[in-house]
Amino acid sequence: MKKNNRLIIAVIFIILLVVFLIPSIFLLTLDSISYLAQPPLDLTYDLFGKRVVKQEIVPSYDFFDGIGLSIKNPNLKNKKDIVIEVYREGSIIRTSRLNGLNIPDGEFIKFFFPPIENSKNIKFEIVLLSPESQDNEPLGIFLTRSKNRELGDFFLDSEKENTAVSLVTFYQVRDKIGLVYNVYKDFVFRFLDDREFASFYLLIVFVGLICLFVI
Amino acid sequence: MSAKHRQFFPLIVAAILIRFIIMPFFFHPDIRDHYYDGSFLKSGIFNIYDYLVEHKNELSIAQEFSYFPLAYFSLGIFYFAVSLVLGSNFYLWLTTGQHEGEIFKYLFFMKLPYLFLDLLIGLLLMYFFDKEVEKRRALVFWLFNPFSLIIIYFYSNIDIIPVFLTVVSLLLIKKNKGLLAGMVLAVAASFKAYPILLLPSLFLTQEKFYKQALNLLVSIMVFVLIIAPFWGKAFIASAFSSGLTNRIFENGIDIGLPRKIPYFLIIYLSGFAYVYFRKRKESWIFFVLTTLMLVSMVEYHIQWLLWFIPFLIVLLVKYEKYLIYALIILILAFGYPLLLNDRFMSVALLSPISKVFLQVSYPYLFLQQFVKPELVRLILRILFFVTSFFLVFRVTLNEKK
Repeated sequence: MKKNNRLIIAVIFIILLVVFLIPSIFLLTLDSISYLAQPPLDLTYDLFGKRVVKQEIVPSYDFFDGIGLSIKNPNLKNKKDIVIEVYREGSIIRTSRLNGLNIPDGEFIKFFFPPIENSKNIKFEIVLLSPESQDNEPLGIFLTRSKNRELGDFFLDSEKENTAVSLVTFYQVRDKIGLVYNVYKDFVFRFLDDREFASFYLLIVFVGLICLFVI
Repeated sequence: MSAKHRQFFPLIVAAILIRFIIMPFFFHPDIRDHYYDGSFLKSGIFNIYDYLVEHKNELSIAQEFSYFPLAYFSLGIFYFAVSLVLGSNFYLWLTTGQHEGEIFKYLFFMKLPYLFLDLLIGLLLMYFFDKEVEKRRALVFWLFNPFSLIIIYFYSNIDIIPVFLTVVSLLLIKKNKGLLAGMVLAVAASFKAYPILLLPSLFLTQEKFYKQALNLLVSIMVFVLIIAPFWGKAFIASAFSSGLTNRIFENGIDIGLPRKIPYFLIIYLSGFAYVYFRKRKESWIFFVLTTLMLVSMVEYHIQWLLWFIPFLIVLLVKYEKYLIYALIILILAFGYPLLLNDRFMSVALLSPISKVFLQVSYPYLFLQQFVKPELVRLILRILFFVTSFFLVFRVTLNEKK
């Protein structure tokens, strides 16, 4: 192999390291993570005054520490608090609140609370309230018709509905190195899942490398 | 293959290998939107502008097509070719996001036409030079600079097509084929408008003045003929919405006319006049001057940086001493769009590897903790302009050999 080619191969490896490994450093900055995509935003329900939105959920993992949902607040008109209460077996165990001032119209908003250690496969009730809001400044909670595996029954003012709040659960990251490992492990499995393409792709990369060594 | 050419073979193989390795793993939503737009051609739709406006309420993804007509036809051809390999699931992925598990395959094949054009640009730049050492340098600068690599394979916009055509036209001008060069520029402008600004380069060939003027006229006619069938309300509203013209006129001298006299226009015309009246008319200088000053003087999208990179490489091959300037220019130029409040400008591009990258803090949010990102962006843009102007000024005025 010529000296020049060795240099080229070294350049290839440096580029790959930069391209694929530097982003993994960004993963280390994550304190909380969601594993599911947000369900489609199909309609909204105006939350104000005595209205109550209740959503049952069953988290898939331990250390459940937040929920994310989309809320309408045109022109940041609502400047009142929205409160999230988390119930287990009828008892309130966590609350989180945000002011309408921090809710830009249609944005995905995250509510965090101290992590619940043994949350996996336990049924929780999430209650959304905004008692100080008036009917002329409601907060529009986005609902979905396509529930994900964690979403259970849904109630609007105690009436059971067929829809659900379009929310996702968040979990505290306990082991950051483990997260990076799992992200890349999952990536490799997903890549190999498409066997036909994976074989074709690895073959052409392999042939390319051989060419570089030979010529 | 002659021994002379064989020496470039490992370079090209290595370049293809790097691109193959990167292609399936970076995703910007633009590439999906573009292929979705292109899919309408397969259904026999000729005027995409009118169609999208008329069927706004029936389409799964409602959007405008903001490029010129040939971009639509090229994307249509790309879509047709790629869908032959990828099958019907590909269309479902484009429209609904289903079959996400096959995204690596989709990205790989969707970027293949860009790879082809990318390699051709490298070869054209090589043929621009006569000496072997210059050919090699041009090829290495193009194939192994990370900037064009990132623009083409991470953001994957269609700018690669007009860029390829402008490089072809530069080569044709060098060979004094003014008419062909003008026609190629007119075709390039039918993808994106900016190559129109390169048309005065037709006066830098060694042909007679009346011939040059005729070439210009024919080129303009070609452009008009391509655009004319689409001209209408929908076309104007869609294709001019990205507003390069508006951006050019944003900054200028106000002398009481309905529009300001743009600073860019002043630099552009003076630059052209200087190159034209020089004893040795070098068209590449005009190409660098126009594209670099244009991008550095307007609010640009990251893919616009590709407009000047090939011509900057021509400059660097001729005058390697400006390498450091070019690096500074490109780093500054990248910083500005990278600090946009848009996660798809950076780490979210890795979303095919894991959706977790969509949740990671991106540069704008990170910087926001210490300083206003808008202020940093403004400083970067000013520095980008100043360094670009300095480089263009020095090269245009001082390098007379």
